[in-house]
Amino acid sequence: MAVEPTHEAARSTAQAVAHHGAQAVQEAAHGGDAIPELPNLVTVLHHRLQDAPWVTWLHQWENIVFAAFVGVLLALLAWRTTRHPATIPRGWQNLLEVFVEGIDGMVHGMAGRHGRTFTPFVATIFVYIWLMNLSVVVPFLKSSTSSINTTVALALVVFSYVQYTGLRTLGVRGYLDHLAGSPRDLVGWLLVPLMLPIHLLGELIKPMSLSMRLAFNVFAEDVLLAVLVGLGIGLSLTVQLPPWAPVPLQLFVMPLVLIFSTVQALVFSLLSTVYLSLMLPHEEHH
Amino acid sequence: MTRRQVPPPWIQQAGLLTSIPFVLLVGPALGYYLGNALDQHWRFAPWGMTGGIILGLVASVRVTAQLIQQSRTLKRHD
Repeated sequence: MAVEPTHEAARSTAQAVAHHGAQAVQEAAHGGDAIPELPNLVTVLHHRLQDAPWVTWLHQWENIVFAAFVGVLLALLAWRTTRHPATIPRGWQNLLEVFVEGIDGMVHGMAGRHGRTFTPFVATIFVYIWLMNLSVVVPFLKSSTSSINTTVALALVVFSYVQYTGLRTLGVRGYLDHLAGSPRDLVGWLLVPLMLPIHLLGELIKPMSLSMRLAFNVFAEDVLLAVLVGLGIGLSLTVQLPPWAPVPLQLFVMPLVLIFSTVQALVFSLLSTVYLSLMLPHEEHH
Repeated sequence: MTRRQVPPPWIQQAGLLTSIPFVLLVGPALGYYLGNALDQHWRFAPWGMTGGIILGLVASVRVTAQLIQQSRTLKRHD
């Protein structure tokens, strides 16, 4: 008897999930404004407890909530792994060391010996974006990176660090010289009014293209998964399967989602490394 | 000591080169919005918008050239 309420609650939640997914897909198919989205913990809570203010708050800030959740998870993992480091690494420490060595190799290959100071930043950006991208394959979680707001925030962090690196390595005078196109003769000085806006626009283009690329790719993955989940639910209703046992059509694209999530995180961190290395004095390249 | 590059350079090159369309898209769009804002502020339409689009395109091409140059460097290391 004690099992009954839990089973009933699970069944109710599954029905809410199925209803949310099927409704979104149906609305999208009929040209509605709703974009198919996989239900997550917050949307399920919102579906069941619409009047609760804390649920409304969670619903409004769901991207930040899931991004913070991944951040906390990552911090806990890093703390647990580095609490008692062993000389001969095993388990999680071994895995993290292989990962850090891989990222360090990439940064070294891209930005040269002096670029190795960027490894902690690039590795953190990579693993944070990677875990956020992969969140969509975990039931009741959401990829925060499918929102342009999250990716713009990440790109602004990269932009700020690139400008800080430029100021630190080149100095204020060298940084302004870099923005002015490094004029060395009369023609160079005459071209400064043209080169300065081009350089400034170039610096703004970098974070914008970074954020757009990541958000649009992850968003497309999420929509694809949601559409397939919705189709699976529709198919299961057609053949009269119970709503908590839909046809798992999304499993066919799951490997692609795993690959593209990794590639997108990699490209973001790679481009960040390139933009950082472009701020280094030219003789330091490789 | 030879450092093993993970991921392989061809994946890194693909990542760099496939971001070029976004760079070429964002530049003129950014130039358009900034130029339009200047036009509304100083009322010299359509020169702000036209200049913004052209400068944005030039800036995009410059960033694209930097990305191509960087990917060629990777190929040399391959």
